[in-house]
Amino acid sequence: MKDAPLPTSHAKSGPLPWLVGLFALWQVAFPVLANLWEFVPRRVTPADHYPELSNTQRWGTFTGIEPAQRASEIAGDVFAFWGEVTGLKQGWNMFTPDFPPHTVVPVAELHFANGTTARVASRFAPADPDRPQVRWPLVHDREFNYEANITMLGWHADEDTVRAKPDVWAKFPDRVRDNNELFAHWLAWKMRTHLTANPGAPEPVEVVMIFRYIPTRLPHEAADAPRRPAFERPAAKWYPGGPRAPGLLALEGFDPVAKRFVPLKAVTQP
Amino acid sequence: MSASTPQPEPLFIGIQPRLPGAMNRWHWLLRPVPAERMAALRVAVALAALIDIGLVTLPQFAAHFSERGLGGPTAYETRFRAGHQYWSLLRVLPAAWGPGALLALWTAAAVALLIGTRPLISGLVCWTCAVSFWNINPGLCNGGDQIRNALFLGVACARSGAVWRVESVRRTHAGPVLVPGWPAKVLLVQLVCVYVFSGVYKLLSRGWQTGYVMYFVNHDLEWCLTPKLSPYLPVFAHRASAWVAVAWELLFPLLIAFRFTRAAALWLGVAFHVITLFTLEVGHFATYSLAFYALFVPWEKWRRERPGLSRP
Repeated sequence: MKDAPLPTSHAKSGPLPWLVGLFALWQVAFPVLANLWEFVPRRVTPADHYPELSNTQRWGTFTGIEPAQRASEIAGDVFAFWGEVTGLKQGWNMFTPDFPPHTVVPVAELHFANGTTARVASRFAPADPDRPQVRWPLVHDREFNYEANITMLGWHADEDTVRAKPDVWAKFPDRVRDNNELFAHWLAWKMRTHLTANPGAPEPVEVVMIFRYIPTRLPHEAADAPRRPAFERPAAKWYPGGPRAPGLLALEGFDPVAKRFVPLKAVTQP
Repeated sequence: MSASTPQPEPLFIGIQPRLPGAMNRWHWLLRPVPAERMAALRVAVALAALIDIGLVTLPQFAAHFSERGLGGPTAYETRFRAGHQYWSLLRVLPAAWGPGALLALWTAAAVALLIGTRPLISGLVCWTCAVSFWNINPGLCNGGDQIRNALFLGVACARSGAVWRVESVRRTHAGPVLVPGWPAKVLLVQLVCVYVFSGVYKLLSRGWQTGYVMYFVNHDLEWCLTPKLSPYLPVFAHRASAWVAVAWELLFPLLIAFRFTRAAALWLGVAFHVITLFTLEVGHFATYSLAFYALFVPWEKWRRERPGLSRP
């Protein structure tokens, strides 16, 4: 940016120019320092849990010298404080560490007391994966973000990856618990959408979130090659009637290793 | 204007900051900027906000912010848990009319920002509303919301109403108008951080190193708005787009620092955000990022002389 000459005489006397100067210094340093501090390992505190650990912050310790580690963590707390109060939260990592070789679409499956089921699809689910429609930008961007914040948790949960990293994927119910509000509100919203569209329909006893994986043709495959078969996996189950026992959430998470739903304890911050 | 006519003295508007010691000679931060730059940023941010409100937020407002939909004042209580400082006015306003009232206030403030009515107040009101909606349903958000918060705060601090406003100071001053430069530099640093740190994380990623990440993003049936067009591009083009994006993000501060690469780097940035707006579900991240670029256009070059106005 081309600037005008520096008018040294413009700074007035009094405390206000000093306050503005200090604020300017802080604001110009903050984004750089806050982003750099994400690479400095820090120890987890209760405030870092529930619902999640930041996915950009490095965790652990960077030194055995306690005062240095502590000072770094206090600085990190200051940056976090300012980022949260002002909305200037940092951490920029789109499409990292990797992007899956399939589209993940959420589906709400309603289970009724009489044993029947009904499905409510995402508005972004392609009717025909081989003939996808062009969509307008911006129009449903917010809803897309909401669903993506859920499906990203299961981006890489294909059979091979789950088999290769069972210790990681056995903890998927913990991820569901950490994000239980996202899951539960989406499932409740889809249930209400179904009930509104079907007046007189009974309320379901369970609503299951299913992730539908639609494989992307691999780079070496021809554009018209048959698509590998889509597959589905439950992610969570929500009980519209409330928790099944005291101390539990009304949500269960699916363990893809043991292939069963796991009851989730209600979040209680230490 | 004839060569013999003396150039009018620049008029400085705002509070020039003071810094301790040698930092008071930090010209890069302290040098004033033409008022047109900040006014253009104000207009661009206001337009992005009105698109965000009118096209993105309003049509699904009830679904996103009511208790019958995905929202409600207590829907995401963990956001406000102990040890964190997130806040939202929507937690204290009644659920029945609070979200609607705050959106109406935000719209009015964005219009005020657009026409330059009290930009300090309207900018702060926009920022307050934006942060309130950002925190009350964080699932709806992406990085564009954090950029939006920074822009509103920057515009509020920037004396962005010195020109191009309903009651413009230029009615009485024909020459150049300058405003404090630090808000522009703060926003510039924020933009650089968005790009450079995105580039760093990508550089560490195997998918970005091979470039295949953009092949899969562009063929994703949800993330891509135009997946039926993606197969027309050769695989190498998808991979190359990943490499170019990483290189451009990492080198952005250097590229804009030198005169001979600045324009190309900025045009590449505009092209990047326009293309991703229309091909990927990045939504308002693209529109607010584009608003940043108003800072880089030399609007002051097209300043019209006004005969008959008083000159010092």
